[in-house]
Amino acid sequence: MNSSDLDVTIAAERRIARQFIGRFQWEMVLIGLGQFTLWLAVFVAGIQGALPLWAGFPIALVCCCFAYLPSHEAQHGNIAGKNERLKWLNELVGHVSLSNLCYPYRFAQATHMRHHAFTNDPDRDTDYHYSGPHWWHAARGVHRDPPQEILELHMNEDPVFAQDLAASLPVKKLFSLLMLICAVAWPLPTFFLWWLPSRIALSYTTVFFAWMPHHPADQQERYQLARFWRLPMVPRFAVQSMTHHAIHHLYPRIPHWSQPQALKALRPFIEAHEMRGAEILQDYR
Amino acid sequence: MDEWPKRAFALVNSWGKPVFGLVFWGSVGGAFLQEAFPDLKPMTAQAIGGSLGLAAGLIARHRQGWL
Repeated sequence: MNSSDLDVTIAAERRIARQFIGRFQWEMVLIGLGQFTLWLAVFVAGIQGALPLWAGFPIALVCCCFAYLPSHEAQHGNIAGKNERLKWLNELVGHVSLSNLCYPYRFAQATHMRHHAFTNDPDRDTDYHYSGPHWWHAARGVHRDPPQEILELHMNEDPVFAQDLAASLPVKKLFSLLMLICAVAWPLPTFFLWWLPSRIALSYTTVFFAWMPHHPADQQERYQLARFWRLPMVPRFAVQSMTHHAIHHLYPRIPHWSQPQALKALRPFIEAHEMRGAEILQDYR
Repeated sequence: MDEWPKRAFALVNSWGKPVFGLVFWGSVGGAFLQEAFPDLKPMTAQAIGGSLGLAAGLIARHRQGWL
């Protein structure tokens, strides 16, 4: 069968994608709870003076950089997959993994679902303010509040969204209070093992999870919402495989760990629809 | 829809930052200053750090971000 005989309809595409959806993604439980436990251990060791701050800082930074991905999978229900009995793990990993970033899970989930629903829409995409001509725009933008007018628009349209944001407030306040207590009691460990790593990790996450995959964020057509990309000399695990984040926008319920296999199976569809950056898939491993 | 989620959200977004800046940088900034200038009194170091933090928090409040 040559390529012109291939059925590239959306129905055929979905039939293939469905095969990869639904498994229990234990890897994200390990990364999510593991990074948090390690970070906490480093923080306590730093407070007690058992670990010098210069040695603890890079470990804390790596932990914080791996904080968002497990929570992101939880936001989509991709940790439990189709296992009804394990759904509580989505909640557990989602909340715990974001703790060192001081980021409320409900807020992350509510705004991320709006990002998927309205990707690249300047008036409705909750991540649109990260887009811009330079990656620095995203690295800096994550430390600003999301545009109030977009949040208010969604709050007015959807009471559930408003409730999620309201529910995230006490969590956000609790994180801030905890950090303040720690800063008063142990100023330098809190700065080097919590505040600074979490700030850098938020920038890292926003650049590689939001800016790079969506740049230039100028189209709202299904196959052009995101692009495939890579950086010279940078292995894809260093950017947590966000090089193929575009497939996540086609099928958000495919678990992150299964995306490379799904990518191989879906490559004819990706190429048929001329998705941006698809040429990197020729030598993709 | 209730108005209180909106109001609470706006309140925390605005006044939380100056308070956080004052306390956080009062402690952290004070500790840094004392490391750099051991002769500085702890209260003086914390007051300098806290003032800078409060100023940064007020700027952040004005510009919606940066803390």
